[in-house]
Amino acid sequence: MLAKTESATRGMSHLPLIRLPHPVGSIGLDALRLLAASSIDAIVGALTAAPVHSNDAPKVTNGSAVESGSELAVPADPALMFQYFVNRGWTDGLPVLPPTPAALDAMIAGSGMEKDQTLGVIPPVNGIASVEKIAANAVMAGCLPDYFPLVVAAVKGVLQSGFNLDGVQTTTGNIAPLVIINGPCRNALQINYSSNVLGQGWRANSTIGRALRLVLTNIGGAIPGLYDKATLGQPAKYTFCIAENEEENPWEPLHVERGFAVETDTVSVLGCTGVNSAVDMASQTARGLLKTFALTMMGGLTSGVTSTETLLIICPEHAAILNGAGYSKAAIREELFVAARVPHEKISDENLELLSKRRPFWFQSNSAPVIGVVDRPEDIWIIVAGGKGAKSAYIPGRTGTHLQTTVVGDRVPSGAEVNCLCSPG
Amino acid sequence: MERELITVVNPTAARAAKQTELASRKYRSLRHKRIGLLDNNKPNADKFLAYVGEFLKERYDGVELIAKRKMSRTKADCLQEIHDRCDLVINAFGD
Repeated sequence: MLAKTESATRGMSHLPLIRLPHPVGSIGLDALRLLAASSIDAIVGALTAAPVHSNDAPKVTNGSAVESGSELAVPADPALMFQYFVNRGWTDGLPVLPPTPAALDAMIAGSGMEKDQTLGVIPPVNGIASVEKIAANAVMAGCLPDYFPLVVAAVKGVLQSGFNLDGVQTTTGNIAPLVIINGPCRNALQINYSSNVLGQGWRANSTIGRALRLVLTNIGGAIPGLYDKATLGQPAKYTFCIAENEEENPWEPLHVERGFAVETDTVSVLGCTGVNSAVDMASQTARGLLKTFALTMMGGLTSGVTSTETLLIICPEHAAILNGAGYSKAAIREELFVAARVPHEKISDENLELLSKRRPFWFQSNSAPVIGVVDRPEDIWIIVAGGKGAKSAYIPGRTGTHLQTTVVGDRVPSGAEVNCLCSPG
Repeated sequence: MERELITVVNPTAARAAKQTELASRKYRSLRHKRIGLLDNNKPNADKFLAYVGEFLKERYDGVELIAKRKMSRTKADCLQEIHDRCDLVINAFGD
């Protein structure tokens, strides 16, 4: 189904496809040979049949793309409207606000963008990401208009080819796009970068991440089970948006490391698996903390599917210890690159075989029998976030997805109330 | 209120229409053809394609196999090599 959709959206709806019954990757060689033998006639047939010349535009339907350009009359009653949207697969399962034309206009007004401007097409169905449609999803997610330039920047980020959105959208892996915000907008828009930064309770974090999710589902067509093939998924697929705690970061923040001025607002995106806690309340030395981080990172190397890039979120207390011992980000990376290596004996033979193809660097004749969590020190991104406490986190990225950083467009403050602290005071 | 309606904008989008002319598959036989086997680096994909290649060689004289491997995306130089060296390609997809 996905292959059919992918070929159709690329204008090749008649590409001959031979479907093999799942699973293929986990069956033995005898079964695999039988599968090849039973498929060979179909493969020869596909290779030798006259091609069908298609001049047709892709005809892809998933039940949600009807009336895509139109305004709709929906029930005004919030519960009924919500159900109307649920029935069409237009939500993440949680209530949404109505994307009325007036709400869209307000969403777009301060961004300086035109509603028919387009940012690109979102796979797998190649939905056209116009400012109007992104705004509709931002309204539904509960964004304030002031957040809209950040949502747009996040969409621009996932559309960069290095992000590999095709893969992120359709993989069986449990991948969610993590949004990391840097710059003065964090304080201006009350974006959480302190206590519970990865958790609930902050309107900006919750709704910016959710808006991206709704864009990916509604414009990109990543409908769970249909084109979003995640075996398990993860809670971060609802929303996954944090800011960096630049105030308590002893090193340069992420956007500065990426070449931007400290006063520039940026949004970085990375396709991530789940959050692994790196708890260490005992170690008081840099060496001790780095041992803990390395151990946590090694837990992420559990199969032949490994990370291209990874993210370490260091809490301020851990950052202070490391900085106090004279560690720069580069030095931390170098040390973790050496320490976070898993001995071959801990990995299954089948995964070792797969890894030898995917990451041949670790299997050269003179190599030690270990596999690094990453192939290069620079594949470990480091940010500082969170509040008090001695809990950092490690987040492995997805194979083939690279962190992207985009500048947030100018914001004209809407005057809306952005003070959305949920905690007293 | 139940009967009241409001106007909203549909949050889904039109889809970019793209037309691609498929390469002509002009061969009625695979004898003496150069056949690319593009492994998508998923477990067993290379082995499955190798078996397919083995069967093709058994069936047709002079079949030449060109095995290539890609990750998520096929890089431009790999595509160019396939274009230059192969008459036909079998591409592993998905899983």
